[in-house]
Amino acid sequence: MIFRAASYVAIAAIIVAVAVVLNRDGAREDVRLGVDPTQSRDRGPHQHDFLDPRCECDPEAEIKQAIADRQDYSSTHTDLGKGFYARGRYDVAKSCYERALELEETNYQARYGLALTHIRLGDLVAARQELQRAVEANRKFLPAYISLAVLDYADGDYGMAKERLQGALRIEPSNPHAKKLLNSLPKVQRYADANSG
Amino acid sequence: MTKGTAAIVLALLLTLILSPCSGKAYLQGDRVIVDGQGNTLESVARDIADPEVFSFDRDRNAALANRNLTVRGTLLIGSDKSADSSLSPFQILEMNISRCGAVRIEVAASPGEVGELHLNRAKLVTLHETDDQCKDPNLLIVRGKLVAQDSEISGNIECVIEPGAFVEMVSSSVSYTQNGALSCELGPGQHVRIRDSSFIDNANYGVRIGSCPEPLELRDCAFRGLSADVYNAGGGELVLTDCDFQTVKFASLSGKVRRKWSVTVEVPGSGLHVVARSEKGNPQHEIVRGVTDENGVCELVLTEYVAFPPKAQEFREGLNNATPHEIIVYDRDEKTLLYKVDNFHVFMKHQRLTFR
Repeated sequence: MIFRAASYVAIAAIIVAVAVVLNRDGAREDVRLGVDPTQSRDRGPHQHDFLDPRCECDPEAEIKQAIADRQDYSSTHTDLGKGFYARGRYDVAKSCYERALELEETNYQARYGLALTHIRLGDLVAARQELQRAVEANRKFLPAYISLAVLDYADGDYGMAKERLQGALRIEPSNPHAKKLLNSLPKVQRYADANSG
Repeated sequence: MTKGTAAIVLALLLTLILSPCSGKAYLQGDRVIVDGQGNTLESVARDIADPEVFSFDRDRNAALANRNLTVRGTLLIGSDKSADSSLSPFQILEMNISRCGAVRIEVAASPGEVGELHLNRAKLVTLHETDDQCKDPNLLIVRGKLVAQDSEISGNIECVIEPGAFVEMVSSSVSYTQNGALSCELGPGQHVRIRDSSFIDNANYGVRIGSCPEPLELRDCAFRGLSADVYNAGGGELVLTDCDFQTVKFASLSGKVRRKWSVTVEVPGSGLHVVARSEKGNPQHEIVRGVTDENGVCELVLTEYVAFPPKAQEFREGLNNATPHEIIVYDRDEKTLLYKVDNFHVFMKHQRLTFR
């Protein structure tokens, strides 16, 4: 009986020893995986073509230079905002536009940029407010009218969208964007009341 | 010793062997290996016990790694999920390897052993991120499991998802990369769930999709790349719902990028049937159905367009469009027509359609 128990313990001890060795010696895993972590990833033959159109300029450095050169100009901050917006850095773009508006409250381009940034960040209420202020700052600033119409469209208020677009076309009758949006407004038809409540 | 006692001893030993190992990090060659469970940046620094290799600064809540990392066990960077993570400060891992494109953080996987990297309010950065002469990417290679929440990966670290990896990424970002922000090589049945995240590259692509046997859907994400925001390299289907991108490129003559938007339809009545159908004459056609909930709300996810090569490279408005849609609301009997909207275009996030 004792011999049998001792043999169980011995077997268990061997298992423990083997487990410890396997656990400690990480090199074995690489052998199993066939992985060389120092080697760079294979990127495929088409990758070189894809790399060709790469731009070598450094917009970040240019932006920093611009900030250093003309720190107090509202228009500079607006331009910076546009740059960051185009590159998808909406939080930074928002800060730039806000700084531009701190320096010049009537900068309607900055208001418009800030509104578009709010749209990208999903805050349509704030976007609408900024667009309305942009229109107040410049009554003939068509992009703000059209963006307000787009927000009305997105909100399902097609009557208001139509009104705004017609207003925009009174300012610039040949504006293609306004014309196209006006033609693309949905047509709602009501047939019967719902039986459910 | 009785037979029973021996069995108990054996069972105890086996339990000891089979139970999850506690965390342990060690240096192997030029890499720090993180093994076992429950590792944190602080515990890794403690295990390594060599500030020249890996150190942790408790005041800054930041670790400095002078060697590459391989995660074979679990590593948590950031706060524990049980805490109110929105209030906790970011925890930072700084990779201090100056050679261009030499940073490797690998979440390993092998049969029976899956490495797990958990990022929860974490920042993963390279200290040499501003070296614009370096176009070779540093890589976060995920073969095991990556769970990221409210975290930032920046400084030219491309996130590479490999076949078999499990990825959950929410409210996180990969940015300042020089070769691509997110790259996916997927296998069948793979779990990749990425939501509300941004992938911003300075030189090439925001997201690159290689092999992809099943459609991969990414939601609420932003992609930017100088060459293309979205790059379909492998011919699979990428479904981008409520995502922000402008340009799409393909490497071959196969593959699709489907752009979709969620639309909230509000109708006065619950249990009503809503059917959205691409209008006749659209190059792409779809029918999407839904039922209003107790608040009379039904969310539909509708396709704006399907980009496919070679025309996507010269993408024009109207090409491959599935919108405009006609949206029809039927009563509960699915026959009585209540409302109909023609010429409904989907084109942006948060669109609503309200019937009063």
